[in-house]
Parts: sequence; C-alpha cells; structure tokens
Amino acid sequence: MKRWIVCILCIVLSVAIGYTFVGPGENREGTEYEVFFRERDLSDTHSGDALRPELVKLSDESGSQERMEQLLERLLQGPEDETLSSVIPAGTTLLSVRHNGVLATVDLSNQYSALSGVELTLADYAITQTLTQLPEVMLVKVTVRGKEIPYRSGRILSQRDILFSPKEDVVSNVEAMLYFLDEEGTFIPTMETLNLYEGDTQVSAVVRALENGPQSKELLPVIPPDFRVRAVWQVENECYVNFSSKQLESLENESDYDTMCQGLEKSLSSLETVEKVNFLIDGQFA
Amino acid sequence: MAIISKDEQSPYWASLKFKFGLSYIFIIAAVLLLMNTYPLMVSEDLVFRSKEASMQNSVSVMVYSLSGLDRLNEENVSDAMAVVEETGLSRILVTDSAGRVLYDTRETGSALGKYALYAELVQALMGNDVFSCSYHTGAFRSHASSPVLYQNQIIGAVYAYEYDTEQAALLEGLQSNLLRVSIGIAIAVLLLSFVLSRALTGKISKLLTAIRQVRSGAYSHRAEIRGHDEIAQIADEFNSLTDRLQVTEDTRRRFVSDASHELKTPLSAIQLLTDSILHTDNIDPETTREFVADIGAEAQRLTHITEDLLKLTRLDNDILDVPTEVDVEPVLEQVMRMASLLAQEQGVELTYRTTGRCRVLATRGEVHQVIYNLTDNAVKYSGKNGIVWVHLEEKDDQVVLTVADNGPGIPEADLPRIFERFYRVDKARSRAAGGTGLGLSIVHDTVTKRGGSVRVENRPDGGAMFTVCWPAQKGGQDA
Repeated sequence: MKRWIVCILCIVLSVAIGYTFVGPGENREGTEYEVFFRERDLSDTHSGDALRPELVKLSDESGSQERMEQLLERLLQGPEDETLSSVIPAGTTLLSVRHNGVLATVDLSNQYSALSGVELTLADYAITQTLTQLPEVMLVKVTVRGKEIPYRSGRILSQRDILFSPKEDVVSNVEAMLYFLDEEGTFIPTMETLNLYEGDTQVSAVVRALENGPQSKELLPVIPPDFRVRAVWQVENECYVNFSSKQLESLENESDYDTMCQGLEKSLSSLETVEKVNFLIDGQFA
Repeated sequence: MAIISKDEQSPYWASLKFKFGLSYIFIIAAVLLLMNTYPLMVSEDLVFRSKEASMQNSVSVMVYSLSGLDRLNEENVSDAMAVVEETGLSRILVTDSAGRVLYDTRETGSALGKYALYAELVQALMGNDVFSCSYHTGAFRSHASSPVLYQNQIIGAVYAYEYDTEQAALLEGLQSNLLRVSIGIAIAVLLLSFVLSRALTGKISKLLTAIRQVRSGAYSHRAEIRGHDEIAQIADEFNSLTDRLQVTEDTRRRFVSDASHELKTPLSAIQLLTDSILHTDNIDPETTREFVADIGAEAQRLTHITEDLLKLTRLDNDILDVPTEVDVEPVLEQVMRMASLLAQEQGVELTYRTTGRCRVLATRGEVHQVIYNLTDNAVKYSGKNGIVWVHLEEKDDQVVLTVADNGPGIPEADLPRIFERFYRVDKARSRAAGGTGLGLSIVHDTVTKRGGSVRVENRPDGGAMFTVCWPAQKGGQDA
C-alpha cells in the first residue's frame, strides 16, 4: 500500500514539475492557436455554438505570413477530432494569403465558391476567427481565384460580426436608485447595480429588486413580502405598472398601497429612459 | 452468575443488532434516495416537455407570420413580428438564410446585422426544427428554432430563447421539501432502527445469556422472554429442555446419593463385624461363625445391589440383547415354580392363571426378571396368610401381566415414586427382606425399553396391583 502511495505521489510531482516548466499553451517549441471547425453533430452541443476550435502549435520563430499560411493550411486539412467536421469544401486549396495593415486577404480555389447560405457564413467566419487571433490581423477578406464571391461582394469580415451564444446568464447591468423605508417610514435611496438577464427590461429589473427587498437589514421593503406586481412595461419614456386587484386586497392597510406606489415611482424614475410612471389595476388606470 | 469471557464476546460490528440495524438503514436510505431523485427527474422531464410544446408552438406562430414573404429583410420582418402577440419569451431572433440577424427583441445590445452562429440557429437554417432545454444553477434555459420557408426554399430562421427562474424555483422548492422530509424520516428511522434492533436482539441476547448460564452449571436458570414470536418459542423450548435437564440432574444426584448410601450400609456392617472379630479377645467359634455368616450375607447383598446397578446402567445406555419373540406363558410357569417355594416359607398363597400363548418381543431373561421381581415383591409384602394373584392374558394387541396381592398396599403419596431407584415405602422392612430397592426400577426400565408400560394401583379390597403391558407379537418361534 505504501509503495502505491509513493508511486502516485511521484507521478503527481512529475506532472506538476512538467506543468510548471512547460505551462499551458506554451512550450519551448511554440505557441498554441485555435483553428475553427464545425460541430459534426449540432444537436449535441447543448446550446453552444456551431463552430468550435481545435488547438495547433506553431513555432515562435515563424513570421506572421508563415503563421497565417500554416493556420489556413491546417484549416483546409480538416480536424483531427472526430466530433468536428471541416467547413471548407473538400479539395479547396489556398492560393495565397497576404495582409495589408490589419486586413488579411485570403484567396482560395474554385471549390470555395460552391458554398452558400449559412454554410458560407460558417466557412467565412471559421477563417476569420482563425486569422484574427494573430495580433496583426483584425479584418479578413475572402476571394475565389482573386475575385469576390458575387452574393456577398465587398464584405469585410470581422470578429465583431459574430454573435456567439452567451456564456453567462447576465447579459448586461443597469444602475438604479432604489427607494426603501427606514423605521420611521422615510424613503431612503440606495444606489444599486442590477443584473439584467435575457428577456429582462430595465424597468422589470427595478421592480424585481424592490420585490426582493433591501439588502441592508436596517431598511424595510416598500413592496410587502409575497406581493408581486402583475406586469411592468415601458413605452417610449413612460412606464406602466399593472397590479392585480386580488393581490391588492391582501394589503393590510391602504397606506401600504400608497407607500408601494411612491417607492415604485421614485425608483423607476431614477432610470434615464423613464420620465413618467403610470399605475394600473387589472389593466385599468388606477 | 456465569462470566462470559472476552473470547466469547463478538465485536459489535459482527453482532446481529448491528447487522439488523444496518440493513434496515440501508433499505430506508435506498428508498429515500429514490424519493429524492425520481420525483425530481419526472418533474424536470414534465417541465421539459411542457416547454418544448409551448416554445415550438410560439416559434410556429412566428414562422407562420413570416410565411408569404419571398425574402426577409429588417423592415418586413419587423412588420410581421409586430403582429405576433406577446409570447413571454426572453429573446427572439429572426435571421436570413445566411444567419444574419434581421430582428432581435433584446432591448439593449441588440444583435441586428450580426451573424448568429448558435448551434440551434444553424440547424434550423439547415432545415431542422430544433428544441433543447437544460436545468442547472436555478433556471431552465430553453432554445427553440425553426426554418422559414418560401416555396420550399429556406429563406431564414426564427430562434427563441427562454430563461425561466420561476419554474426552477418551484422545482427547487419541491427538492428542498423532499429533502426536509427525508431528513426527518432519516432521523426517525435511525432512532427506530436502534430501538427495534435492540428490542429484537435483546431477546436473543437474553436467550444467549440463559444458555451460557445453564452451560456453566446453573440448571435452575430460565430465559424470561415474553411474546409469541419464534424467539419466544425458542426460549420456551429452551426452558422445557432445561427443566428436563434439571430433573435429570436432580435424579442423577439423588441416585448417586442413594447408591452411595445403599453400598455404604453393607460395607459398614462388614467393617463392624470384622472389627468385632479382630478386636474381641477369646471370641468363641460359634460367635465367630455367626459373625462370618452375617459378613457373607452382607457381601451377598452388596453383590445383588451391584448386579442390579449394572443392569440399570446397561438399560440406561441402551445396551440391550437382541430381542426375539418370547412366549410368556412357560416363563411365567417357571417363575411360579420358583416363587412358590418362597411363598410357602412366607405362608402366602400364590395362584396364577394364563389364557394361552402370549408372545412379546424381548429376551427370555428380561421377561423372567420382570415376572420374578413383581412376584417376589408381592409375596414379601403380602404378609402371613396373604394371597398373591398372577394373571397373564392377551388383550387389544397387548400382552397384559397382572400381579396383585392383598397386603397393606402402597400409600397414595408413594405411588408416583414407587418405580424410582432405591425408593422404598418401608426401608427397614425392605432391607430385612433382602431387597435392594432397585427391583421395580428394573421392571419399569426393562418393560419401557421394549415399548411397553407398567402401572401400579391399590386394590379396592386392599393390597397393591401391578399391571405390565407389552406389545403383542403374532406368530414366530419360541425363544
């Protein structure tokens, strides 16, 4: 048993030493780059993207031209991973690649012109994603035997053209002044940065934050616990807050309704896009 | 109190209590695990199916609103989508056939003009209807996508995404409720398993203690286990066994005590007589002859006792001669001839009657011993001018021998013990008559070993009557 433990420890130590000296993505032999291919089984990506990279190592001694050529040749060869497939039609050859400033122009053989629709998009952006890793390349242009592809002539491809699937649920933030109550019933403003999830609007984020209550234990919520606003939306610079009459009946005091409306109005008005707040009950103006 | 050595104490993990408790816990743990996984899996699956149906329905409506357009652009897509009712979806994208976004419901950071390379969108642009849903970190994330066709040509695609925390919260609520209930059940089960295992194995421990006590010699110890289950039944059987063991042990001790006493009496007499001879000066020859005769008589008595003890020992150890069919009548007649001499001396009238051939499975010697012992007893205890009747008959497949007398009879209190070894109603008279106190025991053991029975009762007119029954045999040869 002790021998096994010692062996395992030696192996772990060796790997750790090797990792320390070699490091991820870099070794004395070169730098790793990503070459983009298509997922062979798109249904198996689980809401990921259609393109996925494979890593290749290029020597640090190669110049930029040589690296561009090597990356493109690797792209044309196709993936080694069986779960990926090539986006470039079989038989396509690289005729030339050159860069002028930050623009790289890639000239491919005739086979490339057989692509159209989304397949052409995938191929174009596989090339774009692959080449724009190089610091000297920011824009890419693809031609076939020196000529533009007719149905997308003149288009310069950039990494910013691509919409990849979001890795985080939070898509953006918004700052808002939320109004809560102190023990004496005075409105106390607190500046908070609210996360916006997909489908959220700024006004819905503010209402949700008020429903969840204050983060500080010294403050009191303006919306009673378990009370939910039925709906909130914005049209131009006017915000509409809709209550359910059944929910309103559960309020203990009429003053709770006034306090709730005041808190909502003050908080929603702190958004730059909201100038007026309207309250409705079951869709009718209150 | 028996001391249980450490070697006998098994480790706790090997005990029945531990095994029972552990198995009980494992079963409940498996059930709880199932309870905390299967309902959640089913609920999750139900939500997936529900979302698939609703989202695909929503996407179909949007695709339908775009049908009729020969080509999609930002303006006509926006106009078509404005007609579509609020779907409640988190984000909707419409792209052209190349994947360029023409419509995006996102309020800020719209992707108009970009190329959406989502796997679901690309699949739709390749002609497939797609739906996928995942649940993790507190939310259901659903994607649905369908192609937009015009005259069987794909001109674009609709993509919908839903980020749902409400249903996820319901599921998490269910999960936490199940977990709370499971924890409660687990605690209750732990306590219950402890109690039950103690209750069950406690009985077994008591039984084991009782067995060890009895094994160490405390035959009076009994296992006190209540209930009607198998363990209580085992305890009852154990107690019965121990009762018999106690009786046997008591009998053995009494027998050893009685045997020692019976043997000691003639030996003491011999000792006394020889001392008298040796220590009396000028003892006359006549007296010496008398003393020596007495010594001889005592020695003979000792010999009789020893022979009887040997017979009983052989019977106890089931050392029996091979039985044959014995005709009892001639044996009876032989014994009557012998006993008649004694009867004449005692002034006792001895009569007998037989009803023909009666065959039993035994040895001739055994039959002779039985008839002789009973007849000898009856003659000795009848008294002067007494009468002894001996009757032999076959009745109801049994050979029945009856020996009755008109003597003083046997006290009722002594009747149950009359066949015990060395038991005498009148010790002094029995010794004087030359008895060893083993004759009736030999009769009883000899007959019962051959499948028969012996009983004794007092005659209404006075005197005792012994009845011996043997299983009757049919046919065969005389022994």
